[in-house]
This record gives sequence, C-alpha cells and structure tokens, in this order.
Amino acid sequence: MSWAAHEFENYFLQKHVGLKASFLAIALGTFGPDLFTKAFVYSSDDPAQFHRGWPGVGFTHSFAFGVVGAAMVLAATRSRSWAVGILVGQWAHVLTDICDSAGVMPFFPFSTEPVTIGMWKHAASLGRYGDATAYYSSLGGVWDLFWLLMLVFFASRTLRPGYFRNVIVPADPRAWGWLHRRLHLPEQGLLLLYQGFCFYGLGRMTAWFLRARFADKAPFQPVWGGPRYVQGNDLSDAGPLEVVLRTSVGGVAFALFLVVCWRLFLKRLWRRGEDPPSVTRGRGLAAIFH
Amino acid sequence: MSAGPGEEVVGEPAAVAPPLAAYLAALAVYLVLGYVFRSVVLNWIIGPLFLVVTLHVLPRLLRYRPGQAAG
Repeated sequence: MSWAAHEFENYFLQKHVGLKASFLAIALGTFGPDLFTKAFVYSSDDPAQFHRGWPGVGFTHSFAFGVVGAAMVLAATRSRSWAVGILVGQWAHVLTDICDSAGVMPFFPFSTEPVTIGMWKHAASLGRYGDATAYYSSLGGVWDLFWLLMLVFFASRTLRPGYFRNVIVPADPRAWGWLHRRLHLPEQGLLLLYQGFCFYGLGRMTAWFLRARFADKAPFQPVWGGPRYVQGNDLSDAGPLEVVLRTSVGGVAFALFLVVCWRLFLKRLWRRGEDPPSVTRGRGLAAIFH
Repeated sequence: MSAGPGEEVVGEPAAVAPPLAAYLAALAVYLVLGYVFRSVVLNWIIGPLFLVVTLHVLPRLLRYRPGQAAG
C-alpha cells in the first residue's frame, strides 16, 4: 500500500482536472478503497489476502468499485464534479497500489488476478506500526518522496490562495459554502483545510520515517522488493505471461461492461447531472481533464 | 445544501495565507507530537485537520473575548 503518496497525488490530479472535479471528492475517492476496510486489515488472519484479494475486500481496489461509487454519488447528488472527483481519486489509488507486492485486482470481477510490480512488500502482517516502519524502510518511502517532488515541481501552484479561490471553490461551491456556513470558517480557514491534506502527507511521511530510523531502528533498504526483513506475501503464483493474459481478458470485459452500463443508465445519470456555473465540459476526456 | 453558497465564500476579502514561518512551526509541532503520540496524531482525522486547528481555530479561540462578541 502507499501512504503519503495518496495525499500528494490529489493536488497533482487537481492540476489536471481544474474546475471539472471537486477536490474534496478527489480526496474522498483516494481515501475510499481503505476507508471502511483498513481497520479490519490489521486484525485479519491474512492481511494481504483480506486487503487486496478475493475472497476478501480486494474489490475496493478495483476500477469497477470506483465506477459504482461515482455512479451512486451522481445519482444521489446530481453533481458531476463530485462523481468525476470520486472516480479519478479512486482510480489513482488503485493504480498507485499496484506498486506493492500484494498488488490490486484492477478489473475485478472480470479478473481476480492480482497485478503488481513488487516494488516494495505489503507489510500489514506486521501490524499498523510495523507496516509503517516497513513502508518507510523500503522504496515505498521513496515513492512518497517522488510524489512530493512531483507536487513541488509541477503542481505547487495548486496550493496557493489564488488557485484555491479561482479553481477549488468554483469547482465545488456547494460543499465549500456548506463548510463555510456550518463550521463558521472564513476563507483562510477553508484554505488551511484544503492545504491540510498536503500538510498531513508531508507530516506523516517525515514522522514515520524518523520513527522507523530512530525509534524502531529498522534497516533502511530502498531496494526493489524490500525491505528484506519482511516475509514475501505475493497473492498469486502465476507467471508474468499468465498475469498479462488474464488481466487483458479482464480489461476487455471491463471495457465492455462500461459501455453497456453507459448505454443502460450512466449516460442518463450524466445528462441529468449538474455543473457549477463556471464549469464548461467538452466531449470525451475533455469532460474530465482541462 | 442550497445552490449558490459558493458566492458567499468567493465574495469575501482576499484570503491571506498565514506566513511561511507559521506553517513551519505547525509542521515542527506535528512532527514532535506525531513522533511521540503516533496513534493519536498520525491518523486520517487529526492529520488533515491539524493545520486548520493550529493556524486558525486555536488562534481565534485565544483571541476570543466574550464581551467583544456581544459588542
């Protein structure tokens, strides 16, 4: 699993969707796959299988889960900005988690084959703290740093007050207005709430890294498949070709599923949806990215 | 949630972000607290809210005077 990378990605995604998605929805979408399941992962008998596999709650780390979530949000709120935000955030989480050894099932239920590049070990079997220590002793911590640098060099303007006022709020005026009224937060308070996700990412990345080095004294092993002191936990013994074949078949079936869903009800939900006054959407990918 | 409340937010005076030193101080406090009280501070609820609490809510509470509010 990835840790602070999930916070930094939000701002990078935001830069590319601009007014067309709600930042709060992106943040919720990124939290989504772990939101209701993570607490149970550490207490399960086989954390990796439970978290990412099937049987288990691995379906939360699939593209279909994002589509279902976005469709439900669109049906309930009619907000296209929220539906797009949930979808983009959840899909980003799925793609990011491909990096650890447990992988994800992106095309569940059409393929239950885990897809992974094994960059670092999924270490939930060590418990919550052991997991954090292992992550920040492996390339996982470097992955977080990579996304922090991506944010700093390519999307730092998304953190500025002007961007918040001109893009973030107009993209989702209802939610920010609601927070403004209910929490009695002026614009500065809302800005800090918005920047708080980046702050949290930076803070927890640094704190866990320091704890891993100085409190737990774990060896820093930023090598492919590290850290070495954690036992391997691949969920599948299939070879690379087998994985590619099964995943490709799953991907085609998922694409067909999307087309059918679009024609049956998603198109109708989308047309019924509403946008804030300042949002203009194009066709195809231009409906999401600017 | 009613339509158009965003205008209330956008129409306010320009947002003045706290000085960089305030962010750095908040980060230093967060790191110390996170290092010592990891389960209390480094979680999904406290973490994202820490900045707004330390740089906005707490300073407001410290400046708050009941007499001023009535006046």
